[in-house]
Amino acid sequence: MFTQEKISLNQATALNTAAGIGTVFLIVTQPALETAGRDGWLTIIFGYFTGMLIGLLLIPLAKQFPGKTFVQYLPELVGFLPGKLIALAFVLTYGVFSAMLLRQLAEVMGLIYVETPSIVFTLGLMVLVLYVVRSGFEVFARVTEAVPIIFLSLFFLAVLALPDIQWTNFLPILENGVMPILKGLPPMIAFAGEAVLFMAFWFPTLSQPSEAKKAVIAGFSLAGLSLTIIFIATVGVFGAAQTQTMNYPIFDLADFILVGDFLEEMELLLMIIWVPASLLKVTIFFYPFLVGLGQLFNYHDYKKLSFPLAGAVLLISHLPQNLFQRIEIGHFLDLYIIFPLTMSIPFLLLLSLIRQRQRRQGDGSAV
Amino acid sequence: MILKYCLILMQALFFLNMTGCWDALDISRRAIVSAICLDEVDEPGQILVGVQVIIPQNLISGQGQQSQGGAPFAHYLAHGATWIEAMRNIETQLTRSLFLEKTRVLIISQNLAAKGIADVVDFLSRSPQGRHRIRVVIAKEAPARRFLEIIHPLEKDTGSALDLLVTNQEIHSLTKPVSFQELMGCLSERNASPVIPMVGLSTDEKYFQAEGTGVFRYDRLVGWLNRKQTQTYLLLRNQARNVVLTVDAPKGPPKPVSLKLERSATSYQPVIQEGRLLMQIKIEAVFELTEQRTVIDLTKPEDLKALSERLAAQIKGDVHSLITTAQTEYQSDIFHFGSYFHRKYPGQWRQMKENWQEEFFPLVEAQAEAKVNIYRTGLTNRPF
Repeated sequence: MFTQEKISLNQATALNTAAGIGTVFLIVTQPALETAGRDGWLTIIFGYFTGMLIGLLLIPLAKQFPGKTFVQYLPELVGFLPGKLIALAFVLTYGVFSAMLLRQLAEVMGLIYVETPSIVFTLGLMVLVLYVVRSGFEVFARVTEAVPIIFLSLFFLAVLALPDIQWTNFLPILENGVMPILKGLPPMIAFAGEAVLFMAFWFPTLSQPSEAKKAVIAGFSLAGLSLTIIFIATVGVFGAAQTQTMNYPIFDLADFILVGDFLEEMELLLMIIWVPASLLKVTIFFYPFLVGLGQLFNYHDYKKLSFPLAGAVLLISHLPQNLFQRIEIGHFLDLYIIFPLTMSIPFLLLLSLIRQRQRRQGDGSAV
Repeated sequence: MILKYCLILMQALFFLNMTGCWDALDISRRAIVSAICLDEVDEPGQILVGVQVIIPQNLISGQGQQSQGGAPFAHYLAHGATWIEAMRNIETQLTRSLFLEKTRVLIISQNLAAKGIADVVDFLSRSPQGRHRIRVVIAKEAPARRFLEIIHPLEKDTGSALDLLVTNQEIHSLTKPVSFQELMGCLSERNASPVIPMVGLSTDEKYFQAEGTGVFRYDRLVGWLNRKQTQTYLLLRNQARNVVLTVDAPKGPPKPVSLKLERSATSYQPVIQEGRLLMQIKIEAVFELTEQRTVIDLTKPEDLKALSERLAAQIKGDVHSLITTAQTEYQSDIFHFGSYFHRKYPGQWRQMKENWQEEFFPLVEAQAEAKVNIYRTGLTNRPF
């Protein structure tokens, strides 16, 4: 059974960081630039800070239902039918998202492997994901401990780009006030929310729930910091206007870097971290889909479900007709499902506290 | 158990992929392009693309080895409605596929540049092959394809020869190399226009030479700065190195004295006063006296002071005339004045940003101030 597995505090931190950075580093600049322009780094910082606060609020909520995942305690909290429906939306969103990320992996690999059919990448990664998933959550938690490779590589890229960064690209700060930054927050909070909701799912496996705060603070700060640095490096080098025209700005940055006339072709480094990052993020989305769908119908032998569901994800990943359709699906899920679900966590906590008080009063009057 | 073995077997299949890329193309199947040129053709809507391809067999440089005859490169031309189509037309003549990763230079002809380059460089910005560091040059008063035929005595191929030619000018501030990346960055801004180095052919068309800097308005070539104007321009943009300026000696007969720039710093102070746009420019420069064609001792402090004042006056005059030229003749903000106003007056900038270059930039009153110091006089102090 899923909730009987136990992960350590370090692994919890790594899980939060991995879910926070994930594959977002490839696309984070675009939603940040869209509304806030050159101030987008503030959007990222505020977005991930909000995500961290919500993550901290999640801890007392999850502690009230020890040994139960988000999917299991939602029906208890908001009523059977609404709870099941919300949980179903959550689980299906994560399933579709894992398919979209699988697709994204194939798209990016296709930039370099021009003639290789995308099924090679999607199937290859899915086999790996299946292997990890079937080995259990503890194994996956240990896999995520490799996440420093990802953010250290991103730092390394940013350091190499440092001589070419024009700091005037970030001036003037807050030209149009704070409104554009607030408007850009929902997609950012959704990115962080993907990690928060994932934590809502794995929280019962944490061996020391009392220490969870540390994992949240460290994990989200690291993820937010890495993404901010990536934003500063790309916009610093290319400027806001030009970065906005790029599909994958960090890819351009890696291509651009040239140190001392010999250190070049940094796409290599990017590709080396891109595949593990995809593996982590696809698994992060696939796990709640697989286990959550089982729990929704009180079916606990999730390993038996893994093959058919992996097939479904593989199939969905090949459905979008082009890059832009895939991006649109991702935006839709982020804005209309992940974002509201994330923002509902404080209200769920409030609701649970009210219920708790009512129950206590009820007990009191009975005695 | 069987499932487990199936899984292991499936994973083992993926090791097959590790032997190489699916679509790997060996280096011997690639034609390495060192320079690309873009030209106009008579047919409407068509562009001419030329590539210079390196022939590796003829590049042997070991001692005592004879090259197997022929130039170490070949060039191919074709035209098409788009760049990529023209490249495909070139490939009909080739036994290998074109490889752009190592391209050094993109040569655009003057006529094509005058009609706008934003629509022709689109291909390069989409291609995943290395493009950020390609140098862009404008062919002055000659078809760009002529440059591909010229063998430079010092370099192996025209691409690297042109690249190094332009890079070499930077050392003496005769022009500033522009990479494709910088060009795209400048084209995506509304408030500034790019400059691109120009190269021209000598009168006998045997060799090429740097010819100053082409001035653009948005993406159209509208004029060019000669060598002296380029030096002033680079001084203004804080990119000048080793600029040599010549003034008349402050005493004695008016004989020339040359001074070389050691370092300089230009600072800007934009001011909006009663609706007038002012730009206060402050240039601080340190020069070294490198040559004088008089035998008068100029090393006395008061003489050096007089000399630096003359130099400062000359720099000030050059700066004013260059800015006036850019404002009246070209109406193109190559100095990035717009971004200074943007940063200091974000509120007022909102009304100006749409028509900055056409309407407001020509109205900017530049007030230049130059301060020159002469620190050294080389290894000798005065002539015999």
